[in-house]
Amino acid sequence: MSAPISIRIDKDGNVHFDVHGVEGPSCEKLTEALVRATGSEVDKTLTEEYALERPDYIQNFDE
Amino acid sequence: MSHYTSVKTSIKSTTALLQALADLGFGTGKVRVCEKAEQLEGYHGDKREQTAEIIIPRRHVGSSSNDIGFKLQEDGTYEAIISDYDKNKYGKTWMGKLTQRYAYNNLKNELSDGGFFIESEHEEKGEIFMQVGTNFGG
Repeated sequence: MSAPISIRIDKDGNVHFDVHGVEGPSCEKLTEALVRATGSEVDKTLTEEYALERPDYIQNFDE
Repeated sequence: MSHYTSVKTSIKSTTALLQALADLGFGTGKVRVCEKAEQLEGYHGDKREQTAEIIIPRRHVGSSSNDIGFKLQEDGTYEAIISDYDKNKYGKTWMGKLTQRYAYNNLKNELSDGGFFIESEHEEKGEIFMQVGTNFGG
């Protein structure tokens, strides 16, 4: 399965990452290495999908 | 969409910087890479106080030009040293283009090492767009 990342490099060389189709906090880790390799983060926006975490009762269901 | 991040690019990778300079016409033979920072030359052949590890010799910069240098800073980033005279041709717009080519090459290098692959890429109105997938899913 691929998780598409859209990257735009503007005329000043600044890089804008748009990670889509990835649910939960894992999307943050996805671009972390790329962001670190590029420079310093100046702006971040998390959408509602970021809040989608697995409820505890599902994790404990088989226990 | 679930995550949007803007990053100000810092020039840290020597490899990607040399790739970016090559993209702008300063390929092998037109750039000198020094293990230890060397003094830049002025247009008379005079030695300047400024030193740099990566140098574009003045003869490749233009007639009556000075050397262009890239000096490694304590934080690991390169800073461009460009004389006021040469900033007419190698000013803000040129530095923007260089930084853009640096970011592009650096990302491509990182992507190939990190389990990512480039699905497509194109340029539009002076900006570069890349669509990237991962091999490890979401």
